[in-house]
Amino acid sequence: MKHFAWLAVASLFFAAPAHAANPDVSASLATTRASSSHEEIRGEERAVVTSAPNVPPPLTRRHATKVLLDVEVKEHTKVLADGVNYTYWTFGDDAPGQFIRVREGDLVQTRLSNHPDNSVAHNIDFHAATGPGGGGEASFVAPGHSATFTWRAMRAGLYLYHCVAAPAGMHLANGMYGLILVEPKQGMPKVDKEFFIVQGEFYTSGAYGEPGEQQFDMSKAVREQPEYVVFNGRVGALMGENALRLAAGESVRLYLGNAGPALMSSFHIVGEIFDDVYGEGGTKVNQHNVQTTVVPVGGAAMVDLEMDVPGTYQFVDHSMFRAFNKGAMGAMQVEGSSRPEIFSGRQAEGIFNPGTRLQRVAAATASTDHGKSIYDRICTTCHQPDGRGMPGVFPPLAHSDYLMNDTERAIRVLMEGLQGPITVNGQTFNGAMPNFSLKDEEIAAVLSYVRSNFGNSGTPVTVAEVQRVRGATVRTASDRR
Amino acid sequence: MLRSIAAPVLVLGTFGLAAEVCQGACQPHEVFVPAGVYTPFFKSGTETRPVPVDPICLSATTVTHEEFLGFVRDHPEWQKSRIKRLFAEDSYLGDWQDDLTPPPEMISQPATFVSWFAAGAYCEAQGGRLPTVAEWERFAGGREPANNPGAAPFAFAMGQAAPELANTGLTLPGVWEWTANFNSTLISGRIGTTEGADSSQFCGDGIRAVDPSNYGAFLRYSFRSSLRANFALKNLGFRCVRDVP
Repeated sequence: MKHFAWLAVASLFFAAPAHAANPDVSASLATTRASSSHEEIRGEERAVVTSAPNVPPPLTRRHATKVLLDVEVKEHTKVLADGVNYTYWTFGDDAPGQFIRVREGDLVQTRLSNHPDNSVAHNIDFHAATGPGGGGEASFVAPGHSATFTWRAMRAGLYLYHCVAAPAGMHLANGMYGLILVEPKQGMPKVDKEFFIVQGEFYTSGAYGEPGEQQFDMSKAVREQPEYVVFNGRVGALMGENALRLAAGESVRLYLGNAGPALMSSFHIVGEIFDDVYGEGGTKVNQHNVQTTVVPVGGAAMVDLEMDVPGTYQFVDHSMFRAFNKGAMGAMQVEGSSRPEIFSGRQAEGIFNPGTRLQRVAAATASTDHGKSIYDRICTTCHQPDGRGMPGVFPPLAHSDYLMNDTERAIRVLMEGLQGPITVNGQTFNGAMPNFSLKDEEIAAVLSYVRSNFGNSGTPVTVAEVQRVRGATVRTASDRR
Repeated sequence: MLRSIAAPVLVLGTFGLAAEVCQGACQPHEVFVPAGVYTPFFKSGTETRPVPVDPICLSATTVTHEEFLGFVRDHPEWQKSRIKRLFAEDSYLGDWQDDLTPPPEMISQPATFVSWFAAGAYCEAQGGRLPTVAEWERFAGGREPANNPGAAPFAFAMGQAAPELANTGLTLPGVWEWTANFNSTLISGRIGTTEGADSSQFCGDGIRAVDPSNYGAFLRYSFRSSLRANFALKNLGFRCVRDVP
């Protein structure tokens, strides 16, 4: 939430426009686009790639080069959830495939190899490429073969790549997707950590969690009703031991993709706010202070944020049934010292008991030792069975000056409840006691009981006394009823 | 020749009778497939145009290593060390130890790593030919059940036998099989080119398909369109048909 800070600074210099300090790397987009298509290519190098959730480090190159990218397609059984296996089709070993980082202007020579053991034809479509099919036709390849084509990364941004061989939806639903970042020439604004997360769906023959070998279910796919909606290819890929690890105070950029193939993602981190959002994976920060960002199917988004307070932060597709029932959940684990000035954590616990229907019925039927039974049932939770309360939290009734010195006040407290600071036996308490909706005879009974127990020796309180106080506070009473 | 453009329904309706009469025209290892109609998976323009299919004698099984060994003994020019490079890529008979030694444990399993040229030559030597896509899809391209429980993606893609061919001794493919005109379907001509990209052999196919929810058929057509005649793949074999005399 660093923007609060710089906005405050900016406001000191009245003329500073709000976006001046933004990392908007699109300022020279029009000129770079034109020059990207014929920027001189110097040398060649192997593509920089990493497996999920890691992102290759920022490129240090200041020139365009020829990038050699090798991608192998595999069809293999992998774990989708505990006890659940699925035959994935993947670029490389996993769904999602590896994160590829190139620079704007680079020539990307892509070789797609279809393993001889595979059963069907595959291809690759780079959303980052400009040309027919994004390479789909140029790379379409039978098992046991490879195909090579070259494309120029003309436009900076974060892009999905995926298989588009017919039926394209099935190839996507089987795991054939990944992300490629085309870094702007001037690079991306520096952050401490970077990760990538791709949302995807699985349409299994069995219901969510049904163990064993699961198969692709065509009819569920066509109806767009996945059993699984997951981050990075399987349930729990980013949970527990696999949570993203950060230190408090670190800035982080998440590269988000959504392979679908059906459902838009409403990406949300519980307990955090995105400082900057590069909407739809483009190069421009188009919003600050965003709670949930949309990641369209076949699209992407980049979000920057700072982790201020240590703890566990779950992230979800906020279409919440997907998170709770289909697997769309992950976590960030943030280590560091607490920041009470930002977030206190739990400070106090209390009982909230405004009086329920059941209690009123019970109170009405109480007969013997009326006052004690009311006390035992309602009052002991806070004031304790011995009437001593809890130091600093619940005031004592035993030897209580507050109770004994003012009968009328005591009646009113029982009638209306009490909130705010009071002093009891010289000690300050600042809590709340609810109004229990007791009848006049119940108030008289319980007050008589506490005034003659716990070392107290006061006179009984009569129903008439209570009624007199009730009369004085008739407006409050009628409001309550 | 039992040919019926005008009344395909009538022919199918009298199928039982025709099968009894005509099975005699086929050899013991073959199954008689009566004349009928085949509805191409892809529309011609906006039209769905069923085409008539002649009766055939269809090999009941995919050609095995053992059978292919007999063929290359008799026709040495198709042995792995002698085949013209034009007719097969390097992986041709890639699982054979040498010209006359197929993998022993696979001797009665389908012969794969066979090119279209070699498969066609085999069938020709037996007095037959490779089936057309229409013929192949009629016997093995049945619509899979909606939820295809237990079907691995590969088996799922292979479809199932037409109901009228049940109990005929027909063995369905356990591997892909060559067809005579594998590359003449609508989606195959453009591979490696950018021609026709507007109609898009990938996403656009959904619009042109007779049944866009038949993913098994998409996989079959997609696979066939990825092939070239010299390809020799691990999961690709063949069987032959003969025209009914």
